[in-house]
Amino acid sequence: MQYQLKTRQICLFFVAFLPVTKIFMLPSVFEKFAENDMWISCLCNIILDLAAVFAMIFACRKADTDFFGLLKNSFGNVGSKIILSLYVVYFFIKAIMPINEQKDYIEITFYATLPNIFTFVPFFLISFYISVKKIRVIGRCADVLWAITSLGFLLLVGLSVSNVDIQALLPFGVRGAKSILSGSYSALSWYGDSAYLMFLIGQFAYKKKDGLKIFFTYLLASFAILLFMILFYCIFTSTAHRQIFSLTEISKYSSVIINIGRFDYIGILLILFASVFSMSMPLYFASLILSEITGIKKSWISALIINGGMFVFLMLFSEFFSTVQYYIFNYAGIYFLILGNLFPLFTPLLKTEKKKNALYQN
Amino acid sequence: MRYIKTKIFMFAVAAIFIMFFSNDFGLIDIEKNAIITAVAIDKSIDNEYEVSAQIAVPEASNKNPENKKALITGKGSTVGAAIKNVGGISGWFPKLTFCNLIVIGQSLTEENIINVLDYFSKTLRIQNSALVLLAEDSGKDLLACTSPLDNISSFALQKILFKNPGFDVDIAPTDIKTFCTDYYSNAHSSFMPLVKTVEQSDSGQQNSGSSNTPSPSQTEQNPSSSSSSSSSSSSSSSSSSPTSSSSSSSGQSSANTLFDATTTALFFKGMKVGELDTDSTLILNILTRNASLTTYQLKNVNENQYEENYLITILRNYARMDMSATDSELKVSFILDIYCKIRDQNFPIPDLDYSDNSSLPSMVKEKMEEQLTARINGLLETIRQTKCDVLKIKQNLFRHHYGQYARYKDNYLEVMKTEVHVNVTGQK
Repeated sequence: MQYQLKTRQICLFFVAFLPVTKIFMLPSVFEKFAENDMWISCLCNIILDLAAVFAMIFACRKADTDFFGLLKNSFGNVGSKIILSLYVVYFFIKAIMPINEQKDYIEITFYATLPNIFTFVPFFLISFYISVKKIRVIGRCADVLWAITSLGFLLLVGLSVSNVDIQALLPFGVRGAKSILSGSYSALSWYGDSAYLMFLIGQFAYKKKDGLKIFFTYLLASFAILLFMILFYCIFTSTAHRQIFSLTEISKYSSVIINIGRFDYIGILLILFASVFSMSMPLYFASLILSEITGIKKSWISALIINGGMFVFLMLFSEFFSTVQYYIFNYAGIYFLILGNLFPLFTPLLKTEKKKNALYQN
Repeated sequence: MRYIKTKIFMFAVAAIFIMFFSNDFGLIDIEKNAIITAVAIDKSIDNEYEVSAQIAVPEASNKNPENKKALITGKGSTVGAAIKNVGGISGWFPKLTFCNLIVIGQSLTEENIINVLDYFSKTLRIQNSALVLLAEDSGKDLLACTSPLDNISSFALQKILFKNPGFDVDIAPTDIKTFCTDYYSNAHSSFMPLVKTVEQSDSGQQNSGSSNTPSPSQTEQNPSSSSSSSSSSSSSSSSSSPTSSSSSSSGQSSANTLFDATTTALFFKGMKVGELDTDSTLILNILTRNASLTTYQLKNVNENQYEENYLITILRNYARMDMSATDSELKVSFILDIYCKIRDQNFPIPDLDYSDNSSLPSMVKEKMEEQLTARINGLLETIRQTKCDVLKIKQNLFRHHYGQYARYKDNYLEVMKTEVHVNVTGQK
């Protein structure tokens, strides 16, 4: 069995890609529902993801084939294709919010005038290029991007801490379970990243203590997100709900920034750079699964269908995005919960047999 | 061939990124951009918002060593419309990215001030870290002042509002974010510095630009001259005169304007409800911020003998609020610990020098404790009268005594029992 990834790359994958898409609009979504208890909402999502990761580590340990193989062994050809089709839709919908929020962020923050839809085309070119590549490219991206993400994140957090009113989190839990869980439910489209790990099963040689490494790296990335949520609320408190793009706002109250200028944009641009790749991940996996389902050998065809489809979707629904957002927040949550969190929990129960999928071969 | 393709790809990616992130696609001709450094907002007699934008006009010329400026006023039914109107009548695209100051005219205090500031807190076109201040009269007039401090008046104002560590914390500055956060907090209480103009003539004499501006001596003699200002001890002195927050004239021949921002305007639910005088503003800062290296004037320390005045430097201040809330009682204690040293006095003491090893005379310590206690009580009385909870007592009740919050949230200012403990120490 030829492995395309190293355990190190799996770990860095989570560090590089997990935090970056969750620090644009997500903090204000949590705050809208749970106010000062938003960090508890975030924690609920993290626990759900960690439980799924924990289960999948067991699957990785005993699997001697990839996820496609595991599905075929357990559900047969038709059954596995149905499940994989659901995952194509899952990853496609999962990509909508992060891509659209970054599109809005760039248009509103960097452009004085209203740019047309085609200004965001470069993202799709990059995403398309990544989607065409083998899975080992994802590992190489993670090898480089974890440093960029970490640097940008540390710069922004470092500039923010001086303005934090940590007592703003008090009193804990007063918003009630309903508000906290509503926040978690609405944020499900940003979470469920453990599903990525499912498609990385069988792609790396599992050695002793690898599970521990993966689990703690995921924990570290999740802690970074939680830290950002706490900082966000403690800086903005009663006006947090209107800070739609927290990334630009969080660090600019530092006296260093006021005296010297907005050098925090260095950190912001580093995060934006990493998030281009992070946003491409759902589209990459959707393309990969589509190739598996349809049996298309030329990966550029499925990549074109998925990336082109996303571009057309965003273009068509650009004026109806509030409605799209409403449906994703209120109705798609259960879909994300089942495919992003619950199904991965049962991955260790899938039948393992030696059956390597040809798609991953060189 | 393989490497050529890689190089082409890398070049293409780099080009796309540079084009995308450098805002190339949304380019506006630089000559059509108005770089707004400050805006003043007033209400016109026809009940419209009047936004005066101070625009910096950079010139690539060695004939004029200083940047030119322009003040353009636009009108509209909303603040956004008025800003749009500035662009409409000037032909410049109003670029608010560099706007660091918002001056609110006195005419706007008759309505909820958040009607004006909400626009700035929501839009991403302006930094919501921009400082906010209230002009004693018209905002536009304040912005149109000529100051010896800087060719551009807004820069001069920022110099006195935003002080580096080491200066006295005699001004209570706020920015859009802080003001709105305070407004939307449980207590709906916010504040901003009230800036008064001080004319400086050739002879170096300073005249207050406002008829109701209390001079330091007036403040001392009649601390309750304004119904909403806090009372202070009769023996207390102004800790900082208006000129102390202003820089001296650079010696220009014409009358020049300096600014005094040591008074603070108080807002409750967005409406102006009172002012804090110079002493109360200082005590507010000592209670809520790091006041290290702030100087404090202590007058008539030994009343039985000749007048002894001291200048004290606060080296460390630690303030906390202790609250106990039960079904029957709400008790709030303010504890202030100050570590300081004598910087100067108006009489010679042979055995006292200004080194760190000099101990604080007990008389000075007692007088300072007495004076600070009186001023904190004065501040609390102002809070009770105006309902502007600048000390965030309600927030403390919500955060630390949530079980009793519903009981006291509407009447906490009336029923709370307050205690003040001030401890002044020096070198031991």
